[in-house]
Amino acid sequence: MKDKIGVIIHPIDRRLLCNYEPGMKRLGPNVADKILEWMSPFHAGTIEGAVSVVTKEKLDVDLVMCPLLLEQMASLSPRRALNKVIKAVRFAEAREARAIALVAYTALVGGRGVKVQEASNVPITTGNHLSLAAMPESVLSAIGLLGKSSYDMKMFIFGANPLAYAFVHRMGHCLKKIYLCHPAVEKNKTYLEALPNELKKKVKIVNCNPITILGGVDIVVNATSRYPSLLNERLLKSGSIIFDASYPRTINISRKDLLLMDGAMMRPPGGPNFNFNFNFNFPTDLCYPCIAEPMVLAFEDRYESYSLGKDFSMHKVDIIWELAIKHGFDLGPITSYERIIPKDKIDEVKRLSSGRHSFMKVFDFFKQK
Amino acid sequence: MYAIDIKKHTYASPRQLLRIWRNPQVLLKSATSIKKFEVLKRDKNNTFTAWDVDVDKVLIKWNQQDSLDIKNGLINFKICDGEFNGYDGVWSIKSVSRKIVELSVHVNIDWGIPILAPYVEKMLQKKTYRIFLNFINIIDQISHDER
Repeated sequence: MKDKIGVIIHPIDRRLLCNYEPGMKRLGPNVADKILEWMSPFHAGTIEGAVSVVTKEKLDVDLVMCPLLLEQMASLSPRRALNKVIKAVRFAEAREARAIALVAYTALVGGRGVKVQEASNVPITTGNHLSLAAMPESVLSAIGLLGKSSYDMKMFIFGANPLAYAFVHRMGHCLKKIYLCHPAVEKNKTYLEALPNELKKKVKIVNCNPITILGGVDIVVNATSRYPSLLNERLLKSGSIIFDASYPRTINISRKDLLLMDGAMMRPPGGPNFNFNFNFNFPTDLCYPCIAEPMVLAFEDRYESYSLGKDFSMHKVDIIWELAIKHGFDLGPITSYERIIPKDKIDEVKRLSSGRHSFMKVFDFFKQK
Repeated sequence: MYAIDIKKHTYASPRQLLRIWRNPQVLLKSATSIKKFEVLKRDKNNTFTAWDVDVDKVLIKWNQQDSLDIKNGLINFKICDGEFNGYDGVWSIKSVSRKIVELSVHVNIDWGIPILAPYVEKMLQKKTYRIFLNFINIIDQISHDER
């Protein structure tokens, strides 16, 4: 018998909901939302054909729909959102899932899965550690696509959270300089103190207006859930990479010589037989790292709550990435606003950034002021 | 797509009951779930009305046409415009004895969400049933008060 795990998904936006059920387009948003509130969880599809390249074991993944939009998860009372997720988890349990992953906003309710775990008999994981590993890898992949060497690059990170630290941890060794910027300066200082000396030398905590620094960096990471008010695209060096981890996405850029990217995608092993049987608006051979994490754990026969609550460890980030690679998972293409960034866009950034210098843009900025 | 059938025996006469369809605004006073009701057009046997009904704090809006068949004690209704994909049915007023009249309603509702319907239809049916049960009780009550 094949092993089976469950993944709790939900419609992250109205467009995806209407793709799934075109009839929802006709209903007013309030009526559509109410119908979702009344709806029971259901089996939305089964991911088939995932096969570990090591063990050759097959795995089926049940996609269970928790029918609430992202905005409803945020606007409903925490208890109602939690109950809805728990119902979906119990539905997945009844379908004999040996572990259950909470993805997208379902991973944020109930203390990031802790209360959901209390209500469930099977291990729950949020896929957070593999997401933390995949995002820096995705930026490294973008650097490669732009034909640059990371060793000459400087990175600016808005944030004081696990994602910001995952970027430092996984990219620090191959960058020239990293700036960490967030009002929680003490938190960043504590983090910095714990870093090995070699990395410590590269990281600088910025607690003032970083306008002059932003003009000299090559990568800007927004590791927060908000738009970083200090970010001004006119200041940025031509050819810079901007990585936005906020969701819903907050950064929009108009300059064509900058590369805006967000999130990360994984390609599970299984070749042409792999099929999501569900339209995530991505090619059928790709998935989010939070879905890949429970698959990796299942291939390892580790049915456990690997990522739960606010706890995280860089060790776990490294381990899950290594296990993913071991079982044949690949990093997928880079994306922006849930769309794969086409090669044309990368070529355009390369072409436009080959001449103009950032200091000219800083100069332009102050001239306009 | 689902159907609702509700029946009620009442001591109101068919004439008293039919009066409500001639003057449907009286429903507004008693049915708290009806937030807005407007007669848009009226001819000999047809009434065109606009409805805003509150269901769990959400307004569902539609326009409907009611066709009175007085001879047979039937009021056929169907949606003209609104959030349902399909909505039609019939109210029936039938004498079952000298004093007792059977008031019944049959409703067909299609929300136009065939993919999601299996996971929510029971709940929608329950909500619709409650609304029409409320309507039928109010119609009975109003007719009773008018006697």
